[in-house]
Amino acid sequence: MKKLANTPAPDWWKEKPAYKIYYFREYSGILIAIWGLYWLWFIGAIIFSRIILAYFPDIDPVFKYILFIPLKYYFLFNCIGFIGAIIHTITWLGVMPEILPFNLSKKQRHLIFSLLILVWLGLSTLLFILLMNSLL
Amino acid sequence: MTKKYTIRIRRYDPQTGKNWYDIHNIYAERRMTVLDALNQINEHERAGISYRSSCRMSICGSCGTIVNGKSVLMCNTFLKDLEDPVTIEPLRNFAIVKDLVVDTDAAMEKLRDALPYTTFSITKSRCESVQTPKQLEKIKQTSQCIKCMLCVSACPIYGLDYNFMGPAAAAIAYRYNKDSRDHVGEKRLDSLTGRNGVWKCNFVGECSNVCPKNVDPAGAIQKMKVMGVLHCIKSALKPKLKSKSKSKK
Amino acid sequence: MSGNINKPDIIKSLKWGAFSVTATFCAFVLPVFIFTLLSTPVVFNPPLPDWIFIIVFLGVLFCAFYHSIYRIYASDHDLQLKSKFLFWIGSIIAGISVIEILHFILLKIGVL
Repeated sequence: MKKLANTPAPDWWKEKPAYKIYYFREYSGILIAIWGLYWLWFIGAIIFSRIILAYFPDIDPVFKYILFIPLKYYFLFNCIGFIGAIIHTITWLGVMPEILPFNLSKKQRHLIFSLLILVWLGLSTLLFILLMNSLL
Repeated sequence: MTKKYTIRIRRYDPQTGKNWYDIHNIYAERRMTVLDALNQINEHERAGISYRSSCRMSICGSCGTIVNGKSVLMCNTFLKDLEDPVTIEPLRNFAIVKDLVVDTDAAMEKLRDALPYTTFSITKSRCESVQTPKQLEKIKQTSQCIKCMLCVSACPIYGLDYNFMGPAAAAIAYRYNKDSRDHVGEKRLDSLTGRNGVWKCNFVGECSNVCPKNVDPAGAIQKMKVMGVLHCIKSALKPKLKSKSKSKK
Repeated sequence: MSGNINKPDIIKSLKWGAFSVTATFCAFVLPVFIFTLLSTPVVFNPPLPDWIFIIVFLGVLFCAFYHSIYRIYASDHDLQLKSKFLFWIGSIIAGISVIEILHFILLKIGVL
């Protein structure tokens, strides 16, 4: 007797809010990966340009132009990375209380989540001030 | 006080292989559940719908279906809480036997991998194994599982990869691993951290949302993952010791 | 029987362990890091000695890369959605490159 296999539809992620949140969380990874790729490109361009300009100072302007393209999109790609990082932080800190090896009630989980957010904000401001102070 | 409801039921005839929706109109009272509605349809309209049910008080876990897109126990869902065209479908990720009856054997078989039993050590002076209320508290939540397989039905990863052990097995494994009377924890972790074990879970979290007993399989799997990492590091660091002790035996 | 082999998959477990560690690290450090990059171009005058800065930068970059690629790799069961997402990203990159080429040609001709 043939049985009908009841598999999810191709657009199953549209069905429930939990599925959408899941993809929202997972695909922050793509934004961060784009940011990482951009920085690899950036670092590569800088190192390459230093070597090239040291040996051939009078290089073709076309080549120079192509070499310095990543410098133009500094703001755009860092913004993409920043959005991805914020999404990742908030969702990951939301997930963290689940990973802890204790049984926690919902209230305790929310408390830990808010504590983690506070710790994150405090650490962020501290690091920012430190970095800025050492810069100036 | 009665209210009219339109009920759409997904039917499947295994002999012809046909697949269609039946539409029934019923007048329901306030306290009527979806299961009562189906009983009424079968009794009064001779619809001949096949479905499983037994206890009518969400203990046996046999009347799991998808109602308005959410995996629920029919005896646990009241019609007054639902939006009007009530759609009843069989559980997802399983083969349909007939109408709303599904074949849960595949997922049930995977419970074996979780080694769902405690083994008592007889070498202790006392034969009975004692458990304090504090020790019970650790496993109380996960031991409520009634194996209704709603979590497996809600898991999209199980639907896309049938080799995954599924949230039910993982939750049960967690329950037995945390049991103070248990002595096969290492062996259970071996099978759980295997190729088709907990690593395939991406933490969608819907299994915990649909659980009628608040077992929280998703959280249990994440905890198992942490335990699994520690276990794997341990077993990677001392494989020689194990083989030596085995050869001695 | 299910095809579960009763043998711990050490590589997979280490992968997940590394993922959770890097993801936690990124969750705390990455937003500030990118914010600092946005507010001042740190790269051109690094606050720390050169080699320490390079190590820190590469470390953060590695963590960001590892956890994001693990996530993309782990959700590979829905190729349809991913291809849709990658299509949009690809079109943005293609758009940028087209604008660049046009800009360059206009510069060469002498219009701008």
